[in-house]
Formats: sequence, C-alpha cells, structure tokens
Amino acid sequence: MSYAIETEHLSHRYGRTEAVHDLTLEVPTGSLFALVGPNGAGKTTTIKVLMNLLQPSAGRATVLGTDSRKIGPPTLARIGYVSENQQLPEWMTVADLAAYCRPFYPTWDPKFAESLAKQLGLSMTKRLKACSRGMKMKAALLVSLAYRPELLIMDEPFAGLDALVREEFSSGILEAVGGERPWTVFVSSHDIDEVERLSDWIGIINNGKLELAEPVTQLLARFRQVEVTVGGAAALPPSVPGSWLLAEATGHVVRFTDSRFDEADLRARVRAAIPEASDIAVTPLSLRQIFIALARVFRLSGE
Amino acid sequence: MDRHLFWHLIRFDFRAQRLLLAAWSGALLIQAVVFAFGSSAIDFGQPAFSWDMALLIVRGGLMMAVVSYVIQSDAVVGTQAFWMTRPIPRMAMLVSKLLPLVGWLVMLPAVVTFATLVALGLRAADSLAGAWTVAFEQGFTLAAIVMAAVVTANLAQLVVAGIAGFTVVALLNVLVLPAVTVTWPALGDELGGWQPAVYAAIVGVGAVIVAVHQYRTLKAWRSLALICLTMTAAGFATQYWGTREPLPYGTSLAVDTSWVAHSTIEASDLKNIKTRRVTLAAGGPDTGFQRVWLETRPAGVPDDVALWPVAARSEWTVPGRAPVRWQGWLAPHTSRDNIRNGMPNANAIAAIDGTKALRDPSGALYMSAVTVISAADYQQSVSSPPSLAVDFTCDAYRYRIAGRVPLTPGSMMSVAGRSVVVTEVKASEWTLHVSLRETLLDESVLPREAAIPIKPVWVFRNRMLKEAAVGGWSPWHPQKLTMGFASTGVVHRQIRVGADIMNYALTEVRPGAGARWHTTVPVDDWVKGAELLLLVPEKIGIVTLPLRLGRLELPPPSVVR
Repeated sequence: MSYAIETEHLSHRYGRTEAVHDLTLEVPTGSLFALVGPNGAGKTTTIKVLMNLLQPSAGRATVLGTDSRKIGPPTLARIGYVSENQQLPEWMTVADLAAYCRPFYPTWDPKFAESLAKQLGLSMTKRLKACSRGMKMKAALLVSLAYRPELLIMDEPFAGLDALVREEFSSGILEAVGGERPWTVFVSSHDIDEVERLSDWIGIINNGKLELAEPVTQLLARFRQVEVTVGGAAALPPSVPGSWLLAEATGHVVRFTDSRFDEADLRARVRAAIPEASDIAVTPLSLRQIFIALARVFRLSGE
Repeated sequence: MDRHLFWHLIRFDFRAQRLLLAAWSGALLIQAVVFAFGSSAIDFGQPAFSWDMALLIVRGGLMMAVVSYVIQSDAVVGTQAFWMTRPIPRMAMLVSKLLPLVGWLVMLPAVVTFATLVALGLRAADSLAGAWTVAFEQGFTLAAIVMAAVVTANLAQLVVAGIAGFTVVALLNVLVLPAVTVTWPALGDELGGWQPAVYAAIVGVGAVIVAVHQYRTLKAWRSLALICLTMTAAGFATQYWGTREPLPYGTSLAVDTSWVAHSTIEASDLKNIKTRRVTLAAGGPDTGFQRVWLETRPAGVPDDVALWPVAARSEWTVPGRAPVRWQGWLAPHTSRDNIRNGMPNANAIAAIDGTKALRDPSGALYMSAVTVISAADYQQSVSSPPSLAVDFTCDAYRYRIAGRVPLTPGSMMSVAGRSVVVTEVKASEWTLHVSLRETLLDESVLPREAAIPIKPVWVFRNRMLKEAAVGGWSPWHPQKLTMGFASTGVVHRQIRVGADIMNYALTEVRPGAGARWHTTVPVDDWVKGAELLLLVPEKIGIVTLPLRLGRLELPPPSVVR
C-alpha cells in the first residue's frame, strides 16, 4: 500500500508545550482520512507541519513522498489546502482569487473550476471581504480543487458553517474526489459528525498523541455496546478485561463498550468473566458513539 | 518561476495598493510643483505652517503604509497567509515585493527630482547629484521600513516596532556605544564624512539579509535578532569609519593668556552636580563637585583665517592635591553666538580684500572647555590658589573666493559642486530683497561638505563701496541670515523634494522698526554694481592654543553639604 502522508515519531513543541507528541501515522493514497480530536488536540499543528508551515521538533513527516521540511512549489502544486484560519486576500473578488491562483498550477482546469463554482453556488464577482464565512470557505475550496490536486488537506473546514453550506461543501468535495483519478483527502475536525460522511479512514488524536488510526469499517466492526443481565445484584468482575471500556454495574446489569468485538467468542469471554450472566445483549455503535466513548475513556485516564 | 508569474504577482500587488500608490505619487508631484513654483516666504520668527514639511510628513506616512501593505498583504509572519500554501517560490515573492517598491519609492522620486531640477535650469550634473541624494535617502528609509515590515503582521505593529526600534537604536548609539568604545578623542559629534554612507550601506545590506532570512525560514524572532545585529553593527561601524583621526598637536600661535585669565574664567553652578566619592570636612557624606567652565578668545589669528575648535585637554592642579585631567572633543559652539552654523562671519568678510562688513556681528572666535574638580579640591582651592592648563586644538581654515556673479536677475554661478541662480533683486528705500535659488546638497550626506565644519559663505558685496554682508544657511537649522544690518529680518525658505537636497532661498533684508542702514548710500544705490561671492573654506592646518593659568581666584563655594 502506498501512502500520501506518513509521519514517524513526529513531535512539535511551542516553547515548553508539546502540541504533537510522537505521532506515527500513515494515510493511504486514495483514502478519505479524517483526523478527529477535541480542540487543542494537535490537529492543526500536525497539518501545519505537513504543509511546511512549521518544522518538526522531532521525528519526520513525508507528504506525497517529499520530506515536509523540503516541501516547496513543486509539491505544493499537487496539494490543495483549505483552512478555517487561512487569511484570504480579501480585497479580491472570487474571480480575482481564481485568476490569481490559476497561473501557479499547470493542471488548472478552467471548465472544472467553472462547474465547481456553480455547484458551490459561488458569486464570482463578490469581494471576499463582503462574503460570509461559508462563502469564503467555498472560495478557498474552489481554488484548492480546480487544479485537481493529488492530495487535499483541510483543517477544520466545517467550523462555523451552517447545515446547508456544510452539505454543499461536502458535496463539492465528494463530487471532485469521485473522478477518474483517486484523490487523497486529509481532513481534520473536532466534531465527528462533520466528517462521518466524508471519511473512509479515521484517526483520533488526543493531547498530541494519536490514539488510533484505522478504516472506518474496521472501527465500526470492532466496537459494540454490551449489556449483561445477571440473576442477582450486578457487580464488575475483579479483573475487567482491557478491551471493556467504561464498564459499569447498575441493578442487575453490567454495561461496557467492547473495543475488540468478535461475534464468535464474545459470549464465552463474558461468561468467563461474569459466570452468573443470564442474558447478553449486543448493540452496534455509530462512529459518533464510538468517538464519545473513547473521549470519555481519554478523560477518565487523564490523557 | 518564470517572468510571466513574476509580473503576475506584481500586477496583483499594484492593483491591491493602487489607491495608496496614487496618493503617495500625488504627494510627490505636489511637492515637486511647490518646489518649482512656490515663492511665498515663511518668517522664521513666527510659528508658520510649512507646506513642504507637511507634504514630506504626509509622503513619509504614505510610504510606510505602502511598504506595510505591499509586504504584509502576503505576510511572512505567522502561518495563516494564503500564499504560503501555494506553489509560489518564497524568493520570487520577496523579489516581486522589493523590486516594485524600489522602483516606485526610490527611483521615481529620484527621476522626478532630476526632472524638476533640470526644469529649473540647473546643470545636469547638479540635478543628478540632487537626484542621487534623494535616491540615497529614500533607499535608506525603505530599507529601514522593510526590515520592520517583514517581522510584523500589520501597519499598527509596524509603527509600534518602528517606535520601539528607534528608541532602542537611539539608546544604543547615544548611551551604550560611546560608553564601550570611547578612547580619546572619540566622543564624536554628529555623523559626518562617510559615516552616513557606511551606516546606510550596512542598514541596506542588513535589510536584504533580514528579508531573505525571514522569507526563507519564516522565523520572525531570529529575523528580529538579525535586525538588532544590523543596527548594532551600523552603530559600531560608524564609530570607526569616517570619524576624524585623533588630532596631533601641531603649530602653536601666540595667545594673550593674561587677558583670557583675567576676564573669562567663570565658575558655574556648584550645587546641582553631584558625585559620590567626596566627603567634606564638615562631616557626613557629600555628593557635590565643581565644574569650571573656561571660555577663551584667541588673539593673533590672521584676519583671513578661521579657527574651528575641535578638542581640548585640561589639567587642574590644586596644591597638595592630585592633578585632575580632562580631555575630549569640543562641542562646536560656545556660550557666545559668534560661530553659529559654522560660519565665523567676521573672518569671512575679512577675507575679501579691504571689504568692510556692513555690521560686524562679533569679529571673534570663542572656545570653551569644561573641567571638573571634586568638592574637596574646590575647598582646598580657597586657601591654596589652583592652576589650570588647557590646550585647545583647532582646525584652521582660510577662505578663498571660489566664484562671483553680478547681483542681477538671471545671473548664474556654478562652482564647488553647486549652482546658484539670482532670480530676483528688489530694492526700495528700506528693503533689499534678493531671491536666490541654489542647490545645497544635504551636507550630512555629502562627505566633501560634511568634512568641513565651517561652511561655504555667500557674500553680497558692493566693490566700489567695499562693503559686504554675509549670508549662509544650513538645511537643518533655518536661521536668520546675518546680512549685516541691524534688526535685519531675513526670510529663508526651504522646500524639500524627498530630502534636503535643495534650498530655495528667498532672502529679504528688511530693517525693522527703528532700525537704520549702516551703509553709506541708499539701498537701491547699494544694489547697483553689487555682486554675489561664494567663499569656500580650505583647511590649512591644525593649531594648538595653550593656556596656562596660575593662582586662580575662584569664587568661594556657595553651598557646602
């Protein structure tokens, strides 16, 4: 498998604060990878290192095969970048912005840009200064997609957008990515709902550390909510298995989130840990529920 | 990046800043028009609004704004700038910013200046020199602003950084550098000789290094450190380049020391200057010490020689106490007003064969030196008269007539690298009104001029009457020209294009209320046959004036604490 982005033991410090710690990550080429984590988790810093806006304090990162420290115009011409914090030249109209960017990209496709603008509902003659936040993000997306980049990096692109704009934005991305050539999309967000529709891979980062990174289907398959009913008063087993997250006992029920769900041996493992179990109910979890469960685990463990 | 993309960046910058650039260019053109056609005089004796100064300030402010917006619209601090994530080579971005700035803010004013000067009838060589001076000053200013702009995010930050930077550099140059580099005689005066060129060259090169570093690395703190390094290097360098050589003690002339000792020793305020190292017999710690200010007037100097005091050594000896020695540069002034602006008028007039100044302002050159003694020494001096030895070192100059021209409209003189055109001469019963237009290049920039503290002198002379009046001015200190008439009000107006490259002198001689002519004929008769002379000083040597003063009687200390 080839990777569009690879990091090895990547760290970045702001003075005494380590924003990213020992991050090892692989983003497969062609994937739609969502890096999810709470505010201040290190997502933006990671992306800035990937874009060579910041340099690693330790470790290394490669983007499209280029060391992040050496990323220059040739690599940037293959990357699209959209960020909620980016300062657009606000004196320009949307058309000006497109005209400004066009000469830098040999692969710029004017027809594609035109269709994207229509699809995103952009008013090309409006000055960016007069545009809403959503319109500015769409304009940034337009000038980041029109040259059909191999890799699209987006940092909190949905923050502050209303539902309709978010929908149009996501559609625009999916439409563009779904062409002949597979694009890689790397998107960061603090809200799982925003990226659930977009992503087929997910990474969860917390306090600068990567907690997991795997295909969404795999993640959904291995997480289940389990409820075990017992005859008498419920109690947690003396030794709770490591894969049982957020285990609790109330009344006649023991509840936990199984992070290594396997249909075949679940019942045997439960009965081994809780011999008095009379009934076992298993419920699939949504990506959002998994994320919340993990967030609670991180908070309880003090990370 | 190919040329097409380079122009692409410049075109967008120009579009973004077109209003500011238009405003700046408008101010430049208005300045040129005022410079070329303005004629209204400003009386220095009263507060007056100066259009040329106002325009200069406006254009300076606009220049700062232009540089700020051009550079900071694609910021190189922080990580949010749009262009940083686009395939734009950083060096190409830097060059696309600097070249138009240099073209617009440096070359354009130089071209406008050149065209204006040529249009005013000045020689091409003079006009070119004026244009070069403008380019020099604009380039230096641009370099300083660019340094601040590449490490700040917006105009407000730039202004704050500029004020802070100016304060730090001023403190560094005024307080720190002299303290760490002083070796006698190294207490230099204003930048002169090659110092401005050295300073500007280091700042210019430093600005390029800072900008390249910031664009390459985006590390603002390191760039800030480079700025500090640049300004420190510039400050240090000017301590060693272009400064005067330590003066050897040379020829001695006779001095009437008895007259000096008898008449001019003064003890200055004794109570307000303090030191910690003195304990008086009265008991308890005392912080007082004494300063004696010696002012002297040399005698025996030939009439056509002008002396310029540059340094002094003194030794103060109180019997029974250790000698106190002092040495240093002299400030180019004394308590007397006879050599203001580097122009000993009487000597200049005396250089002209047999010509009498219409009014001799002082006819003498004074020098002063300060020596400091402790309170204990001073107490001792009451019972044991001290002696004081002072050696004044002076540069000696002799004036020569470098050029002359009839005092009639249209007369033009080109000499010693400058031109003067007599544009108007009016005479009435009570008023002599002479308009001159000359190129007076910024003396702090031109090494040739700055090396000589005594300035060239314009003299208005009537040969038949053998009477003359002296005029002269400095671009930095507008002054009343001493034309030799009592209560003379001389209006002198300066107009600047970019820098102090040119003085447009409108010289009026207007006797005030109750004043009267000191000429022998009415004014209009005096003007007939009058001529304008340019006297140029030439250094002829170094003179030491030794003063040996024994058994001085000082006034008793008025306060003992």
